[in-house]
Formats: sequence, C-alpha cells, structure tokens
Amino acid sequence: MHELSLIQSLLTIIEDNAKEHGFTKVNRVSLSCGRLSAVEPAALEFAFNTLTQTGICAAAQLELEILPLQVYCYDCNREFTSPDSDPTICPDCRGDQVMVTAGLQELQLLELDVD
Amino acid sequence: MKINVVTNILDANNRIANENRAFFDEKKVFVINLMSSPGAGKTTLVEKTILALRERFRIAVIEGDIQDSYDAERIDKLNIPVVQINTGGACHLDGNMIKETFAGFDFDNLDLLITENVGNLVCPAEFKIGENAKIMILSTPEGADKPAKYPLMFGESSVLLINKIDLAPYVDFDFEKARQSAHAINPELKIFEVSCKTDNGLKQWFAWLTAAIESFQAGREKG
Repeated sequence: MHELSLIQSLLTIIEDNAKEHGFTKVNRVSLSCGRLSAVEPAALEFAFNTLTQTGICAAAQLELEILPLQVYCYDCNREFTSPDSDPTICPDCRGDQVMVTAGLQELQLLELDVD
Repeated sequence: MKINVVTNILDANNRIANENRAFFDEKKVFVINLMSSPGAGKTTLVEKTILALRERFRIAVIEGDIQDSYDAERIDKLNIPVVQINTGGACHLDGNMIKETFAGFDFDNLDLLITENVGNLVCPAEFKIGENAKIMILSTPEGADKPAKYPLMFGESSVLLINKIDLAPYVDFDFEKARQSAHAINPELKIFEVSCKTDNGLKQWFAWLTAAIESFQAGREKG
C-alpha cells in the first residue's frame, strides 16, 4: 500500500537531481532495500510504472536489489544468511535463539543512469 | 552517464519529521506514535492512558484513520484536545500530515501528544512523524507469529504492549514465542503484558511512560 508514497518520494529526489545535474532522461534507477523492509517489489514496480507514464522517467527501468536477511544464532554461535524470510528461526539448527543482524535496511536510491 | 546518489527514499519525510521533532522539543512536548493492526486496542489504550495520567500531564491526541471520526469522538468525550486526520485511503500517517495539525493544539500548555496511527502492521513503521518513541500493540487473538511476519514494526518500536491477555487462554497465545521472536528482531524492545479490559498490567505501562516523559522534560530543562 505504501509503495505509491515511496515512489512519489523517489520521483521528487530524481527531479531534484535532474535540476542539480541537468539531465533530461533517466534510463535506469537502481534501488536497494533489506529483505524485511516491508517493500513489495511487484507493487513498487507497478507504482513506478503508473507514476512515470510521462516525464523524465517515462523510459526508465527500475532495478531493485534486495539485501539478504542475516541472523546470528546463539546456539550455533555464528551468523547465517537466511534463505527464507523468517527472521526468528536459525536456518541451520531451526532453533529460536537468534538475533537479526541485517535485512531491515530502508529503501535507498543508489544510482541513476541518465542522459 | 551514471550518477551516484545514495539517498534514503524517505529522506523528504524524515526531514519533515525532524522539523516536527525540533518543534516538539522546543515546546517540551513528548510525542508517542502508537501503532498496531486494526482492532488491537489502540483507542482503548489511549483512553486508559488519559484517565491514568491526566492529573499529572497535559495530554492531547491525534487520531489517524482512513475515514470517519469515531475514535476522535471517543477522546473528545474525555475533554481532551483531539484532532482527527483522515488519510483518505493512505495506509499510514506521515510527517506532513502531523505538521498540518499543529494549528489545532496549544503546545505551550501540553506535555504529552499521543498520535494514534492508522491500524496497519506494515506501512506506519516506515514513516517517522517526529515522535520520541514508537509504541506498538499486539493483541493475543492475532497470534504469537506476528513478529516473524511483520518484523519491521517490531524492529522500529521501543515498547511492545501485548494486549488482551484476558483472552490468552481462549486463543492459545504463546507468550514465550512472542517474546522470543520480538527480541530476536529487537533486543532492546520493552515488553508489557496488559489487558485494557481488566486493567491488568497497565500500571507498568503508565510507569514507563511517566518515567520517559519526566526524563525527557528534565533533559529539556537542562538543555
């Protein structure tokens, strides 16, 4: 639901950058967010396509890198990159003595490819 | 041409939230952002908190809902200043919506502003509004698996109130699992088990909030 708000904010940032750097066309927008950041990639892409029918991003591709979920397991005494999205279980021993160490990063704009 | 920008998408909102926070700080108003799924007991908690702390602190409330003003009417009955925000479909409050309510309050005669967010376990967690603390409620009928399913809000909050503990025996709520998984996401999370119906456990929440407001006010006096 909040993907529209996120894309609106993104477009404002891109317009500010267009003024600063003087570009008129965006080819690619690179974003990243943590696995647990509550951003739904399909909804994000839909919002982006809907809000960029015209304007400098009309032909732009949206690229979203999802940063993995990492949990530290106190039973195994090591950190794992979790293949599933449950942050409360160790992917190895399936125990629940874990702590999330990465995966909650907010949505970030990394790079713009522009003309 | 490639431009390296590296900007948080919510920077624009964060900027407004920081401006709100600076304004609240100057007025010595402690602000909480209360979040939960719909029906977890936010408005009842707000009512109970007002009744318990109104002798000690001057309180006002912002009610966030997609539409209608039922919640604001409940607060208004307690003779507490309240502004209703209707988001008109938006699933969360943001910094700008909060800023637009400023004209509705007398901040010079206020100690605590309670902001009741739109009922939603996902989106409100992402949008700062200028609060001192995010407080969330999980009610026992929702189940103990919610931290695993909605980790962001548990990660962002300072306090988790597990509400409706009077219903726990009927809905098989697993307290240990809820505590364990909430702390896996956020080891600092303070957890209180309460029932807004029987008032069980609420004293600890009132004590926490009182201490938080007093420590904030003491800090502002010095600063």
